[in-house]
Amino acid sequence: MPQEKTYDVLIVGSGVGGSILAAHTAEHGVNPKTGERLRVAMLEAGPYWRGEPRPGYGIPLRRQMITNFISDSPLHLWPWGMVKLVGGTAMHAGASVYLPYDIDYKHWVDEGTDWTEESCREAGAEVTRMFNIHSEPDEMLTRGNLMFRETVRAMGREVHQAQVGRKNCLYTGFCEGGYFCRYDSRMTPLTNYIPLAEKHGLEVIPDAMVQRVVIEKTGAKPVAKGVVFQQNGKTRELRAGKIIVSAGVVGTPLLLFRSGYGAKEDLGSNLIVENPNIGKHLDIHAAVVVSAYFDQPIKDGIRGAAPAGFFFLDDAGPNGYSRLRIKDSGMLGIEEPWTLARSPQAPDFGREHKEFMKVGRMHRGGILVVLMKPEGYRGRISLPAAKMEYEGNKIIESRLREGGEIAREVLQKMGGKKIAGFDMRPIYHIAHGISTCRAGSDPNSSVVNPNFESHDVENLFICDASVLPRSASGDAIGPIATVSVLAAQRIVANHFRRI
Amino acid sequence: MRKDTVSRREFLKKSGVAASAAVTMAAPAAALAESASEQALLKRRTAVFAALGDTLIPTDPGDPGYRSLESYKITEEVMKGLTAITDADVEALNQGSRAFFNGRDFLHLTEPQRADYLRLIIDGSHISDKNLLKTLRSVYDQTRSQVFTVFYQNYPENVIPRDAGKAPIIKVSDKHQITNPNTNKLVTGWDISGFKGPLTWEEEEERRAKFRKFDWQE
Repeated sequence: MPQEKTYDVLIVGSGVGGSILAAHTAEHGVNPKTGERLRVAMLEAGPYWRGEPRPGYGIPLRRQMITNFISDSPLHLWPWGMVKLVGGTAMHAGASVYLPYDIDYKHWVDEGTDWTEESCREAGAEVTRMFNIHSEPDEMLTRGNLMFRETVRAMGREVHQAQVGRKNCLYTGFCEGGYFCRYDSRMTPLTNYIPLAEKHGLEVIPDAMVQRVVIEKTGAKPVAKGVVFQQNGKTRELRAGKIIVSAGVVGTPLLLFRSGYGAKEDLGSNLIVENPNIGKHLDIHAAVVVSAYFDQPIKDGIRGAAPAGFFFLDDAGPNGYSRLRIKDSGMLGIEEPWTLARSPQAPDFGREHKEFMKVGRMHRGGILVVLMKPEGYRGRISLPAAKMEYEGNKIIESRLREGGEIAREVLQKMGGKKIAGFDMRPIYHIAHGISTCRAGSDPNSSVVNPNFESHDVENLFICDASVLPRSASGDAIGPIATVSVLAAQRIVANHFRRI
Repeated sequence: MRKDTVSRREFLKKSGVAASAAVTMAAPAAALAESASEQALLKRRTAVFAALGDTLIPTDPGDPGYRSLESYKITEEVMKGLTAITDADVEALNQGSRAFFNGRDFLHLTEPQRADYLRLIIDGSHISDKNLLKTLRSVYDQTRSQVFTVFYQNYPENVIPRDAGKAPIIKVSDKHQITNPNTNKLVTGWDISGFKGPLTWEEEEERRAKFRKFDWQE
């Protein structure tokens, strides 16, 4: 196979982690010996819907490709259900963001990193600015949002206002049912870090399915030399001084496995470098959705209103573990008719059902109960099948039942009827999963060190959801972005500064 | 009545049609007969699902429903998602009404009787054969879910035409990449439920004007 262009840095994956690293290395990194600007390329398995962002309007290509037609099939899907696309699918479902809590920093230090609040302060500020993280003004709230807030307060519980990463939102609510925003209002790498990186010379290589990282065993320690990938039916190889893998909580362990890097029992004779932690320690959310019907409309407008949960109450377990987040996600303006038709509040069939369909969209509301990072249980990604293995346990189910009961009480006090879902079985989903190549100081229990360098392979770095040892604050995008800025700062400082 | 989980081919054999044909006819003729019988079974299967759809989402004068979309082959579309239901199970539902409606099949009931029959299945207390009840409920639940999904996903205005590169095809004169497949030519599930789909450019402009007052950065 002919080797092509050589780069200083190759980044695999263009989600939040990869894009932040691309922007920082392209803008701030230099060749330590010559001082010249770095040659940086970012490979992505999905397509590139390129264009200078225009929040509130969108650009023609994205407006065409992102139809807002909710049942429209995603064009490029990973087997594990996430969409392949330059920019990734971060900030989906309303773009709510939770920056790391104090307890996250404590956990990260406990797990063997030096990612303290102090060391991440600058990163957090950058993330807040780049993603335009803010709380929505009261004018945007639906009747249901406000009823939720007042009811929770009246119950004597503290209610928090969620923050979102959006700019010039039209409040259609379509992002709640899908991954994208055709108006460029949802702040994603496509609207912030990628345009910045390209201004500083980043080369984006789309539709490039990376098969493996080339790992060679020539000296005392194996060395990452490049990547092999498929593009337009051809196999290509690129070489680089440093390889950064940012392929996500499933994609990263899968790629490392295909590169011969992982657990001996998984790889057998294909083993090049052993690290049994790759693909293990998976941490995800478990959730239940509790819904009700209201006599009066609780939503606002024919087309959407607030496309995110605006208020939530937190019920943290000891030491921040097993945190329940109970939020008003279901008080929105958009509900797909086919979901409403099959909802627990819908009559069985016939004219009664049809009448319900004519008025029900504004009368049905729900509360999402999420259990963050339960203590004492971890799943794994089975390799090479890339399937999530996460069965949960009775502690998780019991804690979610507690949350379901709280949600039922809130809905009852709000005047909801036909309350359903509080006793349902938990939903386990890979979205927001973390920790499958976790960071730590001990090579026996982690894959990368606190500087995001592989314990086992020279010139190989990992930074994405997979390195987070834990995240109590919830939807992992805030912690991922914060830690990715920290990673970028450290990689540039340690490897791409003029000597 | 009892649950019969045989396949369509096995059902044909059990019903005796194909078996007798195999004995008395030459091979090509037997194949023809089998094909004709399969077509008859398919016709009845289609009729049962169409009747279920009509009962689930009734059509009245001035109030279109499932039946209004039969000319757009909605039952054909619905059946694409119901292949796991065997012909035997469909027939069990069709014939299960005999015990309650003077020996009449579901297909021969009036619309109110069909609705009553579905209520009997949902209620379950009058059907003592637990296996049969399980079958009837399974057919009902799967059909209900599929009918509501297809209808309220806006069939037949549920597909955005795409080019070879999977890019949505927009009108040549369209300056704003509007891809809403819903039209005002036909009353569909979206229309009934007041769901309008993606915005027009004019509606976008209205919303921009509104939200500029609250939360906007140019």
